[in-house]
This record gives sequence, structure tokens and C-alpha cells, in this order.
Amino acid sequence: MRRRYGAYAALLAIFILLFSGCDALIGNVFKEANWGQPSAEKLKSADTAALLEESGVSSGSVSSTFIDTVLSDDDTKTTVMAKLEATATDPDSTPEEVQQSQTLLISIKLADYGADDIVTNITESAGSVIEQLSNQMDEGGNVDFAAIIDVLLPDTNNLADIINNLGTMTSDYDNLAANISTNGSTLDPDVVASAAQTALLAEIVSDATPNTSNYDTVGEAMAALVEDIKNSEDPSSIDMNQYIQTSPDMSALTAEGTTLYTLFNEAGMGDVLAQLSGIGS
Amino acid sequence: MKRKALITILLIAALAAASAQIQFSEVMPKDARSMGMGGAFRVFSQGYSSFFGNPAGFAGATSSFTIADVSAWAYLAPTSENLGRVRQIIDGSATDTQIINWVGDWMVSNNGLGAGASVGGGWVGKKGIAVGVTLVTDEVASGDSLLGSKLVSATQANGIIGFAYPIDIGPVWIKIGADGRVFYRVQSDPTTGWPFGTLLNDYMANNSIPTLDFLGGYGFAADAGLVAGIGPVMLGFTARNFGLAFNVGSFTSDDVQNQGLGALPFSGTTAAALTPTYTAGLGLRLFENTKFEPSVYAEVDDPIALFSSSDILADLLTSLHAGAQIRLLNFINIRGGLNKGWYSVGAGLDLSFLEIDAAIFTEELGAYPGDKGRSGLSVQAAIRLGR
Repeated sequence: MRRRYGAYAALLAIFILLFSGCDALIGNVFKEANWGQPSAEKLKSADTAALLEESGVSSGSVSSTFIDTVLSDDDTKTTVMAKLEATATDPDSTPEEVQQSQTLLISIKLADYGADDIVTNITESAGSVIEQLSNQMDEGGNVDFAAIIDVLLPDTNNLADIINNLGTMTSDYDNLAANISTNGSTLDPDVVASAAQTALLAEIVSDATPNTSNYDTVGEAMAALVEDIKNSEDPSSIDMNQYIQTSPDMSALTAEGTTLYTLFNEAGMGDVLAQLSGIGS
Repeated sequence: MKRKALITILLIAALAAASAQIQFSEVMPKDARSMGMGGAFRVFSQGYSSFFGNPAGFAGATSSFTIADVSAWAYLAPTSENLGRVRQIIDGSATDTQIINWVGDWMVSNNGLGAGASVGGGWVGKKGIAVGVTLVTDEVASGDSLLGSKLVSATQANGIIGFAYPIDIGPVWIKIGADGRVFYRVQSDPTTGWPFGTLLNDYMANNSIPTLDFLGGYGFAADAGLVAGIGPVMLGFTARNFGLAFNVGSFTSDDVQNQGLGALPFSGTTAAALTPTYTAGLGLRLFENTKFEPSVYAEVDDPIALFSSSDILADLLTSLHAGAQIRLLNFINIRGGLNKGWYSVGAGLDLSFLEIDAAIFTEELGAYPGDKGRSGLSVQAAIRLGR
């Protein structure tokens, strides 16, 4: 009987250990050992059909491991992107092949430009930031812009280049939206939702113009604005016109038939777009 | 004659499945026993577990009567930070803003946030006949952000009749089994789900949830499997969810509120089918029914696809569930495993008629091991006579 009580105590100890936090247990031994992972050499020689399958885009999400592997080798990156580009522009490709190739190209470019981390962070934090903003405004207090910037952009290294590169990607989103508009979406709604959100950032960057007396590009202007907000004692006194000459025209960017209209509606987020269209109008 | 009938039924089932329009995956319980061993123990399931695993496991040396087997699981990484947040939510010290922020973070960083439960009971007889009823539900919210997130809900009730038969050929023992199920399935649209961000905001703001659209319908499915062994070494295979195409109809949460269970459709017009699954495994069970009973299992999803693989080793690792259990003093179970490379641990107590188990697990949702892990914890309790 005493032995049984000892066993109960041991088991209770195991349970407490299990449920008091298991940070160390969340790891993948195969990934750490590089087992079962894609290889750059193999991806370089794969055809587009194999690339689309290996990337996971056909099953609803693009594999970050796949993207990292493509970008780990310059030859692989160039070859893979060329194959995807060829499929995306080939008139003989099916809408499914075109849309998946375009989506994969966008994912590779976002990661290559270093924009994927920023995009992920912004999309992850956007909800809480909007909530914070509305709470602070409801309470009549000052908006803590520096804290919000810290949440949205914890790492501001190379921010100017990243923003400028993001702005160059509008044509990729335009092509994707045009194909979806013509043929209907063949992509998983999750993939379209992800594309819609990054397209929004790209279109905003592309549509804004910098105050050219101070900055050459929107990226430089935005990076400077972010730094100044973080370092200012009174961010509300900062004059936006010193950085941005013309803000994006949200009602035009979100009008019927635009890239954002197509992607947001296809992702089932038409209501969100309707709210966005009112900003700044 | 019986064999001809069986082949005909299987052919019809395969044709029906191939022409189906909506594919539903089986709603599998994330039970603590299996998840503690890396998701293994499907092929070598025994007794009640065989209602979800391999019907060959109905052929046991003893019978068991499960009065109730209840599992609950949550898709939430059990890190110390997350457990601290949960404590704050429970004790009421977290603000609405914090809760929304944490929910978004949990959903994105864990590749899904949700929970599920299963409840059931059944009898597995000494002669391999099994009868059981089970109900499994699984609710998962996922997405890149709360803004575009979706909640997919799936619930399935099953009534199962199975039979397994043991054969001994010299030193080789074989167990072969099959079962038939009638099920009722209720779920959200499997692709689009429900808008989770909107549901959460509505609930936080108004304490109410808008009208939800469901699909529902009943169908029939069959599972089959075999396990062969020499002494403690076992080899097994199971194929599940061979079903006739069934029809699902639409209804809403308001319909259920107004009409109760009468709102569930029985004559829908949209064709659907369960997606068949195949699992093969290798196991080793030593010193059975002694005070020190170790066992090791390795199982592979969709083993048939490995034959056409260009990189068998990589694909093997991408579909491998491996786990081990040590059973001490006939009532303590300690488990560990690798679920496509992700660690899992678990433990359990088997008392005279009460079994309690718990596990922490991570399962792979992505294309490669370590790509897209979803962590969670599972607890299970059963009142069972026999083992």
C-alpha cells in the first residue's frame, strides 16, 4: 500500500512538472538535425509542379522552411523564381498553376526583402493596436505612439529598404488579383487572406509620396518618421507633412474592381475593406 | 459469397468517395494516451481505443466494458508565459484588450487555437465483437492575424459495430478486424469556416454570437485493419473511413435554438465523403502483464505514398509518429514520443476501474518536420471494467 502511495506521489510530481510550463518541450528534433527537410539542390532541379507541391501552397499555406531553403542559395533562388515567373505568365498554364505560382513568388519576394517579418508582426499586432488606440482615444488620453510603434515594428533595421521593396510589389498583387477576377480563385481562402493583407501594405506604400524636400523615397520618410516618433517626448507634435507629401487615397485604393477590392472580397473580408475605405476620406 | 459481397461493397465505397464533392477528414480525438506517444498507437490500439484506431485491436485476450471515456484537449502551447496568461484570464485580472491580444498571439504563434472533446462508451468482447458509441468535436481558429482568421468546427457522432478475429499460424499470430459505422456529422464549411475575429469581437463587446451556418448529414463508413506478430514484435496496417458518399444540408444556429435537434437535416443535397486514411506501423511490446511492461511504436501516415516518393527517407520522417510507454506496477504509465519530430510526453494511472491520463503534444501541420507545429495539452478519464 505504501508503495502505491509513493507511486501516486511520483506521478503527481510528473503531472505538476508537465503542467507548470513546458517551454523546452516545444521543439522539433528532426528540424534541429536537418532530417526530412527540403534541399536547395533538389528544389533547383524540380519542375514547377513539384515546387508548388513541395511549397505547401496547394494545401493552404506556404511552408516557411521551403522559402528559407529557396533563399539559402542564390542559384536556387534565381532558378526557382524564373520557373515560377514562366508558369505565371505562360498563357497555357491553368488558373490554378498561375495563381499558385504568383502566390509563391510573392512569398519568396517578401522573405527575400526581409518584409515577411514586418508583415507578420503588423498583421499579428494590428488587432491589439487598433484596440489600444480606440481605448486611449475613448479615455481622452494621449495616444502612446511610441509604444504602438514598438509593438508594430520592434526591429527597424533596414526599414527604409524594406518599405521601398514592399512598394515595388504592387504589380505582383495586381497580377494575382487580375487572374482571380477573371478565373475565380483557386487558392485556399487562408492564402488569399494573407495576400490581401500584405497587398494592403504594398498599395499604401506605393500610393504615398514622400516630402521630396527632405526625403527621396517613401521608405526613407517612413523610417525617419518611425525613429522620430520613438525618440520624441511629444510624438503628437510631429508634423506628418515633413515626411509624407500625399497620403494614400484609401477610397480609390479600395474601390470596386481594384486589387484590394478583389483580394479582400475573395478572402471574405469585404467588411474590413469597407471600413478601410473610410480612413482618410 | 461473403468475400464477393465485401469486395463489391468496398468497390462501391471507393467509387462513391472518388466522386464526392466535399471531403471531410475524420474527427479524431486527440486523446492523451495516443498524443503522449507522438500520435502513435493508432495501428496497435487495443479495446476501446480501437473504435478510433485499428479494428484488429478488438481481438484481445480479455473483454472490456467502457462505461464512459471522456477526453478534452486544447490547442494552446503550454509555455510558462501562456499558463500565466490563462491564470490571469481565469482570476479576472486580464483586461478585454489583453485577452484579444493574447488570443491573436496564441492563434498565430501556435498555428491554431482551439479545443476539442470526445465522449463515448462501448463493449469489446472476448470473442472480438465490439459495439460502441462515440462523439467527437474539434474547434480550431487559425489565420495569419485575427483580421482574416477563421474558425473551423467539426463534430461527429458514431455508432460502431466491429469484429476482429485472431489467427495463430505456428509462431506467427495475426489479428484481423473490421467495423462499420453509422455517423452524423455537423460542421462549418470546411474551407471557409466562420470569421473568428468577428465572432470574438462580438462576443467581447455584446456577450453574444451572431448566427452561424452549419452543414449536417448522416452517412456510413467502414474501417479495417490487421496486426501480425512474432512474440513481442508486431507489424500492422489500418485503413479508415471507407464510406459511401453522403448528403449534407444547411442549417443555422438560430434553427437549432428554435427547433432543437429537429433542425438537423437528414436529406441534404450537397454530396460529401470522408477522406480515407491509411496507417502502417511497427511495434514492440515486452513483458506483457508484468510489473514492468515497456512498449515502443512507430507508425507512418499514408504508407502507400512512400512507394512513389523520390526521397523516401525525407517523406518517411515527414509522416512518422514514434512513441514509447513504460507501464509500471500494472497501473502507472509514463509515455514519450516524437510526432513528426515534435516532442510529446504523457502519463497516466490505471486504477481498478478508473483511468486518468494527460499529455502535452505538438503536431505538425506543415509540409516538413518543424515547419508549422501546433502544441496542445490533453486530459482523459475513463470508467472501464476490464482492460
